[in-house]
Amino acid sequence: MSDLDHRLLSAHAGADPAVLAGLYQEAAHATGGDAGAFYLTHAFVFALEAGLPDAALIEADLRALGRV
Amino acid sequence: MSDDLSAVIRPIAQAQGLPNAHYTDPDTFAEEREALLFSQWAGLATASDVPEPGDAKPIEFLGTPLLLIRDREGQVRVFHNICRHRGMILVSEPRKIEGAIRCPYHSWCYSTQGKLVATPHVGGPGMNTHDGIDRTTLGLIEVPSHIWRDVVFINMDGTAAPFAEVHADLIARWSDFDTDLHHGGGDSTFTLEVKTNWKLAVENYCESYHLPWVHPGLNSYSRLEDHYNIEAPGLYSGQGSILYRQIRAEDGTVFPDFPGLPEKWQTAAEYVAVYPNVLLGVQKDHAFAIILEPRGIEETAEHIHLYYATPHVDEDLRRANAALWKTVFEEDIFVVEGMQKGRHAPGFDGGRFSPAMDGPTHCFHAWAADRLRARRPMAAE
Ligand code: FES
Ligand SMILES: [Fe+2]
Repeated sequence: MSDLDHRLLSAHAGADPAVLAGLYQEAAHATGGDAGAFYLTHAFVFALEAGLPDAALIEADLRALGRV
Repeated sequence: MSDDLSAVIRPIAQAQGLPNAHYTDPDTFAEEREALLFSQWAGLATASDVPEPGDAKPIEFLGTPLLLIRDREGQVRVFHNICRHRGMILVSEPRKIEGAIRCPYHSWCYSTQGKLVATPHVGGPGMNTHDGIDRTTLGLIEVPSHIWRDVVFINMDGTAAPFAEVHADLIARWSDFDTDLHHGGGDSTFTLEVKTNWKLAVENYCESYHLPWVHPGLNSYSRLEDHYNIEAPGLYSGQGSILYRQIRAEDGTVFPDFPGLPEKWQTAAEYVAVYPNVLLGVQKDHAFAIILEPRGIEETAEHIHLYYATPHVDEDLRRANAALWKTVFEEDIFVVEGMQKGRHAPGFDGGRFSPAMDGPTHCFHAWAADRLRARRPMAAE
């Protein structure tokens, strides 16, 4: 995770929500479980902010997990 | 301090202007904020400020943080610029909202229509719902708004009748100009910061009495005797000219006329203060809107916007026209600032009106006095 952590941090500094959405999705898939839902939540938020069509897909994933 | 408004609403020949407190006293300013600005359709901005869907612009209006936004469907809306969670400011500088408005604090997200669409971790880490949080009741607080002649009017306290009903008279009066307005762009808008109470800017704008003295240049093509008063009690007042002469470049270039205008507008023009704080002008070849932003008791920003009949007009002429209007409006600064200073002379009685020339100003004062009296307990009068 440390490389991903690092990329996440610099993406937060760059403040491009589309990039953040992608990285958090990556993190969610690499993790699973509660931690995965946590990352997926962030992916959802940034996808919404960026207006990505992915937002609806991520929301569906969260719904399947009982998280929205 | 006694604040006798009954003198203000006398017939003009006996009337006095609003007492000093209406220009200098913080409590009266707060009272007028509610009675004259928040309860009415006040000008906030222009729709041209947010030309594209997603464009968002934070604007403070008398201390209230607002967000002007063009939603995804293209509709201009005004919201309180604060999050329903902990009241954080949502948008701190003008920008484009690509998808949702994300609160910078805990990332609750709102659609451009104001719907709360995400509440991350609200039920604990990774759990984005909670029974106690009903998203459907937690959208952004919307302020009623209405766009007319590109001006975004808002009714802060939500008590006003619909704009089209309130201003049916003026809308009908100017129905000839009910056609597309094209904002002249960056060189056709400017702001003047003036050390005056906003009302003095209205009072000066709506009368023609001062034209020959303050705008001697105007007198060559817009003479005092060619003007008439416009008075719609409780709504608007101003002046008209029966001898409008359009700006013309040396090579004869002029701006195109608004389409379909009846003959009378070939030589006529009207300038009206729409109460409380919007000053409008219509002429056959261009129009303007001035939004008075009250920044404090003695501080006003005048936001001026010029409009044309077509999206593109001659650039040099457009610049020359903006420069001309800027000169005219700058010529008014020393009087509105001078009258403001004058309001600090103790015992000034509000002054008197020329019964022949000051009708539009008195009309505005009577409107203000009526609105204030309607909200004051009877005992205070
Ligand atoms: S204050 Fe906006 S999400 Fe907490
Ligand atoms: Fe003037």
